[in-house]
Amino acid sequence: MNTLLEVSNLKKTFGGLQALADCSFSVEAGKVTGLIGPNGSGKTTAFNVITGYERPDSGLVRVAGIDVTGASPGRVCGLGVGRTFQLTRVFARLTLLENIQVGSRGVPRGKRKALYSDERCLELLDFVGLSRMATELAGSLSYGQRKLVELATVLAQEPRVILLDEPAGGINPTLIEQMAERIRQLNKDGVTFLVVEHNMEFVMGICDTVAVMERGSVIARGEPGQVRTDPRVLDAYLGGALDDEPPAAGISLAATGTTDAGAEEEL
Amino acid sequence: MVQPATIAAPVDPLMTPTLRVTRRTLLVVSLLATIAFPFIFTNPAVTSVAVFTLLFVGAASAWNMFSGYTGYMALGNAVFYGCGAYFFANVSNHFGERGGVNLFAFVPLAGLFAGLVAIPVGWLALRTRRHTFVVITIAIFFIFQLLAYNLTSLTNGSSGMQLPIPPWNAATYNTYFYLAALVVAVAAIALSWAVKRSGFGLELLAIRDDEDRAAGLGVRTNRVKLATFVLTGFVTGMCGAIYAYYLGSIYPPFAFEAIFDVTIALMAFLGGLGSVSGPVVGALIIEPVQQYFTLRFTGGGLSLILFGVLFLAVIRFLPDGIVPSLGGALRRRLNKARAPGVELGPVPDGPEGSISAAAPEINGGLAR
Repeated sequence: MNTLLEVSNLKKTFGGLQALADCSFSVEAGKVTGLIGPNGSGKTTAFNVITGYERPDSGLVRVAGIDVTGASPGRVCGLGVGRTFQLTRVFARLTLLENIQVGSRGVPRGKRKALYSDERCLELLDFVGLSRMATELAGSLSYGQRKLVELATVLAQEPRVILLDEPAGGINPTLIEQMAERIRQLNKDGVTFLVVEHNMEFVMGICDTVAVMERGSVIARGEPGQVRTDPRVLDAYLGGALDDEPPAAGISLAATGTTDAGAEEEL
Repeated sequence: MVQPATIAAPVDPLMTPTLRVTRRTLLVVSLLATIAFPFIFTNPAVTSVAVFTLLFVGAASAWNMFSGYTGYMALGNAVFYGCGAYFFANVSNHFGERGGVNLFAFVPLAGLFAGLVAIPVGWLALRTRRHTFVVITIAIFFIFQLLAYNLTSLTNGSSGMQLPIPPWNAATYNTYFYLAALVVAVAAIALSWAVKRSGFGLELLAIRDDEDRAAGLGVRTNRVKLATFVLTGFVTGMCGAIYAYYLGSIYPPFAFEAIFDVTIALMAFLGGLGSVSGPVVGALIIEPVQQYFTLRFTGGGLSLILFGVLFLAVIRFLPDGIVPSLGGALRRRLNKARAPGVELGPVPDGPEGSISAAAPEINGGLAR
């Protein structure tokens, strides 16, 4: 089994907050890997570190064996890592078609023409069900539709691995089912995924393996069914740890509740 | 799930072939009319206003090419205007005892010099964003103004510099400057148009909307921003050179003028920020009006107060600017005329249909 994305011993602190504490996990090629955990457990920070938006204090990020620790977002993208954002980010005053075409410099020159022809961009919009709105401004879309445009934009670059940050968060059930369907379809075509998500049904439905984060590190990983019944995972979600550990840890857990929000504001 | 055989994007109602031809014809006609202008209106008082207006068309287009497209509101472009002016004054004094048409050859050189100045200025200022960027550009502007006062070997300080005076007779004197300014203005518009149409321009617009995400998609944001900033400096410097030559003398507060920075921004805002024709329309309205105000209400700075009122009125009533507002209204009208209330075409089955149907907010913000 070959590893496409590997993070090892990542550490990252924001002021006194430890967002990542010795975080290690890997993503196997051709699989859909889920990354779950309570709010503030460091999932989004891990995404930001992998894709170059945050520099880790220590640790390593490797994409297909190449060290990209602290590389720029553009370089990580150039190595075939695409990502979407938890709070969706589209280019609001560009049309859907233009949104997709923004990424044309992110792919090697030779492939640019083929990947960014109008036909292919429209096909991608059709894939996410939005081709009829190709010339609308992205700012006029609903939240869920923006997520789909973001996905199409990332897909255009034909990345080897796609990092999705809460693809199902805040969108209606029909769109959630559609998103899951699209991910399964792409995965069948060989695209690798790393998915952060709170919707357990969604995660259990699409993921081959799941890694569980708590307080900045991965505390369990395995098949979805296994992880679901793991007592450590239940503890992390239900906050059982608070009772077992000294008060200092309790304070730090309370504090990490703000980690995700803080990290997003950094962006 | 039925896939449509060919997926076609909806056509922009303002981009139909007939309208495209109409637009092209209008463009050619207005260009010819602009060339003919000084030969029809020979009154020097009129052509003088026209020269200044064309210089502002060029400078406002250049400003829009960077600030309008990227959203980085530069308020220090007078740096390039002034550098172009002083470069031209120095070079023409060195090489031309007497003025003449040949001195216009130094205009592009003055542009290159200003573009060169834009490299370190941009490198420094573009390390910041948003409000900080605005403040930094203003600060850099004042540094340059101070330099103009104090680098007396290059600028002759507050005593100013005289430029060679061309030996043209009074009747046609302005025409030379008019045509030179026209060439620069047309070049600025063409450049701004070419940039906007290119993939490069798309990257600038993406930076305006979300710079970090653009970077994550492989846009080389720093390089793209600096390149455009330098292009803007180049065009603005050429305008400054013609300005200096036309005035015949140059002083630090006129070459490096704070009002200039606000004026070109106002022109772009009034006409339509980020559109190619917006700053042109803005300059064509504002510069003659400003000249009229200055003539009409001398002293007391009343013209500046009126100018300020205009600025506030634009932001209050036409936040998108004239061109995008008109374009949006026209599109809505054409859309309505073409398909009266029929937006419910055959909805494809499968999940696609459900999404499209879930989004009736068509025409959300076509004001571009």
